[in-house]
Amino acid sequence: MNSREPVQDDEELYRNVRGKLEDKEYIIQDGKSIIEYHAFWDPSLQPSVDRAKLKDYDPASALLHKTNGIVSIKAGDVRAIGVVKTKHKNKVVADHVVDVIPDPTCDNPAHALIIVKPEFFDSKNKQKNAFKLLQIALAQLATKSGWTLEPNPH
Amino acid sequence: MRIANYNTVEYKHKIQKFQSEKQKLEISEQFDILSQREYNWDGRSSQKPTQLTLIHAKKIIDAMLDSVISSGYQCDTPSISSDGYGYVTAVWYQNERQLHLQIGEHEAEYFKVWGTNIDTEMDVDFLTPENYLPLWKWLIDE
Repeated sequence: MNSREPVQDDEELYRNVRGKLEDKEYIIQDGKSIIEYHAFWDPSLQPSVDRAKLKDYDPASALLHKTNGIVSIKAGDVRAIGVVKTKHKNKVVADHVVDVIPDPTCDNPAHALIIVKPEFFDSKNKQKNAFKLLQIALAQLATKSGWTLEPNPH
Repeated sequence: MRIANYNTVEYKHKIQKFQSEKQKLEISEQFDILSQREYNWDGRSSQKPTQLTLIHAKKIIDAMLDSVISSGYQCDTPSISSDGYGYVTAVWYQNERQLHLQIGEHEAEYFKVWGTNIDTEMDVDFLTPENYLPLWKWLIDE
């Protein structure tokens, strides 16, 4: 399969979640795991994911560290998160649509990015808050799906 | 939920004091972890929280807990961390609702979340002491 093919709505996407509890990428509350939005932080504001079908549906092959866990989210659910808005003086100056695009690398043909179109702009603070909303929504989707591969923090 | 109506005010105050002290200890432990973070602590270029941010955040979180507990509510200890920009974050999860605090050196904001849709199920605003109790009541759907 061509790793540059568009990501279909029904595709599963793997995301690494750091396994150590003190890193706060997940917590356990009332016996259930809640994925924290920090698990979707990315300094370029484009969280990386792996396309499950290009990983032969083997989540272990997507692990970046042996203590990490893997969560799965559907590309269609990511696109349905809604529009992230940039506001200036309470007026909406840009609507950012959420998308998932292929970004294969030599080392990882399954690599893809969660992006917004157009890219975030304006002040750092506004970009921070807009991206945080996206992170929160992604974490909620991951929490609903649960672990595809549980972390091994020890 | 509200603490049950005990016979004596004194007993109620003792429970509240105990709860408050226990939580402040748990929160201090979480802040100890944050104070040891350095730049790129997560391998994703995250900033470390500054000393000023940590002090400001501790003050706000303690004040919010005091406000909620002194009004007769039980208040879970939030999940505290720092984000990629070095802001301190505190989150409470209650069923479908989430309340996030985001605290920098001089400013603080809250995020109310009740679903995954950014347009219709999330709200952001500046955090002020007047918000503490209404936000808690919203979180527990009272």
